Amino acid sequence: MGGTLDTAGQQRAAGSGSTAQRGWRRLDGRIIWVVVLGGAGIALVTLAVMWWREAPWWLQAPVPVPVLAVIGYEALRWMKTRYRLTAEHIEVKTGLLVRRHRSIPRQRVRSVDVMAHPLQRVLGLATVQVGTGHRVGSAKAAVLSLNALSRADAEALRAALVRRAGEGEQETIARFDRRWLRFGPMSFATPLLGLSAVGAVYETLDILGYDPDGVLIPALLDWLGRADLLAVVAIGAPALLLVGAAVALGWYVETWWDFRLVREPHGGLRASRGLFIARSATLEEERLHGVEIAEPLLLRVGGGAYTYAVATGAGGAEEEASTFNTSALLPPAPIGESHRVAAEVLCEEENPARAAGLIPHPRQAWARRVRWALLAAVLAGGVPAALGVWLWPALVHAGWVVALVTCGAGLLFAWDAYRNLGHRLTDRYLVTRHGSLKRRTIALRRDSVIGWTVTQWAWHRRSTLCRVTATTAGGRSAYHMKDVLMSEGLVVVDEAAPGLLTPFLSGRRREARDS
Amino acid sequence: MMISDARAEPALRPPSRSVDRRAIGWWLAQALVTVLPPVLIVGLLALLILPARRWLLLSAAIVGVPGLVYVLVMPGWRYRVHRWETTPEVVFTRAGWVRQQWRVAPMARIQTVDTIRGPLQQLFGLSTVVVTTASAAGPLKIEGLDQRLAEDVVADLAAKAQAGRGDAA
Repeated sequence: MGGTLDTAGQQRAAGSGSTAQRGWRRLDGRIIWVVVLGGAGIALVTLAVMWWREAPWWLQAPVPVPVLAVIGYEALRWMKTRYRLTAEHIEVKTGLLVRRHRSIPRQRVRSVDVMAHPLQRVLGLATVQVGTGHRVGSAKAAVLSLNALSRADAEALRAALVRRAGEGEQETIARFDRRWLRFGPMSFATPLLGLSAVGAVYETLDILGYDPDGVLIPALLDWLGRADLLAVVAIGAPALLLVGAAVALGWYVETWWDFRLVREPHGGLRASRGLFIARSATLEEERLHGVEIAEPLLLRVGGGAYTYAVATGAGGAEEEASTFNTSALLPPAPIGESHRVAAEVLCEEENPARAAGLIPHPRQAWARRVRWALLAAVLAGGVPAALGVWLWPALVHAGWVVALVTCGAGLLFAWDAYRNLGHRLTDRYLVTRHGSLKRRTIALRRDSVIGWTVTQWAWHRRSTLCRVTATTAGGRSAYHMKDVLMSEGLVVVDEAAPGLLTPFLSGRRREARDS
Repeated sequence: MMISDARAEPALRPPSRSVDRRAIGWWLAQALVTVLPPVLIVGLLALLILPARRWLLLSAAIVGVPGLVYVLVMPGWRYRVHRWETTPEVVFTRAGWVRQQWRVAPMARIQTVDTIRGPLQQLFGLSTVVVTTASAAGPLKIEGLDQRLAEDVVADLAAKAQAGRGDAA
């Protein structure tokens, strides 16, 4: 696609001479100031640390060189980059050595994201990313990026690209609520963040030349040797958690502050958010295929949930962990709010992903999870036990304790995971739920399903336990009904996509399915 | 309950057409290419490094025995599982060996149809037909077709996909 459009653009540019030059615009000149300020900041910090550690002059002297190089590069990039918006296309010409002309038909534009990091915000700039939703090569190839325009230009470009016929009022669907802050630390990441804060302190001390390995840690160990270990743990562990919770809270604030989800006059959904880094993403309504409610275990215990859109060109597997997941419809928020927003986004009375009336999965699915839990226990306990027989008898005891604990925890998870399994077909949606550490409930529009997959392990042939997957053109692309009996799964497929499977079902089908 | 009535359970029948018999040879060659190099290298080291011979032979066995089972079992098993079928409305495939996958894609949703021929496949005169839909969940593949048949299948599918889309529009 890119190749043909390239040549077409070049021919047009060559053929019509000066008229083709019309409409081409530069990026905002202040992008050079971004790197000047950023580079100067980094250089100053580096020099300060070097001065503090009394580095020789020949180490300090070259510090500005890369900074100057980057500034020069940015200035060249600014000079060499042009963009324009025509009636049919958004076009960008860029590149220092290899000139590149990208052109995206405006009707192919599926998302327009505007974001600004702190320096850009100070200077009144914003980066615009135009997505087509087509991931032919990498995710990057599907995006045309303008780094950066003035905030007003960025906003105007965004409005021009997403505007369809009709003006009207924006309708606010959801707005950030400070009480949601409590969901920030409800994550397994909290203790890890506490530990990483300790790591960051260590790293800083090391850079500043305090030699923590040689001085601080021996002193700490020395002190620990004399202190009451129980008290140290009793104070240290909560302190660590507290620090972790503070970091998690800060992270939540930075990511979700001022969140707003609005329906624009033409029907697109726009989510904007962020404290230091402002981000905004627009989802076109016609590429919305459903919603997903994701509940990581701790968040679920606290009554909260993530809400995502299943949409073309957003929320792929690689995007889920990133801070700027363009498919997010809400911050981690109370589950009731999550259902309300999901229902409103889909324009339904009630969120179809509300779990009521899900068909539970067969007991074979429970048996399978129990087998996994037992296997995990045998492995976790067996390895130390075997080593114990061979090397050190005390390990044998460690082995059976570990096995028992793993078995208990594993069975609890197995039970939870089994109870969470479920699926249902409504008149417009396929609803499916699975997972324990992260429970996902997905409601997928039936007419968005573009294919079906049935996956079965050879040893499940007799029990006919299998996984039925609906594939779609967005989100994580494949949504599973995990561990259903093949007959149940096929009944769902046959009803969701009438006639599709009929020629391939083996003879002995019941005459009336609803009998 | 619905499940209790065994005779009423719908089940998927296998797709009607099997792949080319030469595919067994191709899968065997693939398996050998995967398994042999590590075993041979460790075996060679065992010949050369006398003090560690026992351990090297042990590790060669740890890789080699499952590898041997894989080489002996996988190709024939795959040949029995891999099947395909096209109708005017859909492409229907079954693939895998221990983990088997049935896949259905309606013609109207097909975006591209290609063939791929890896170097080993070319030796055996085989092709893989790759059918992509708009989903990023991975294309449908019909592996191990005779090259000429694969060309025909691609032409046929492309025509049907075009027709299907025309109806849908």
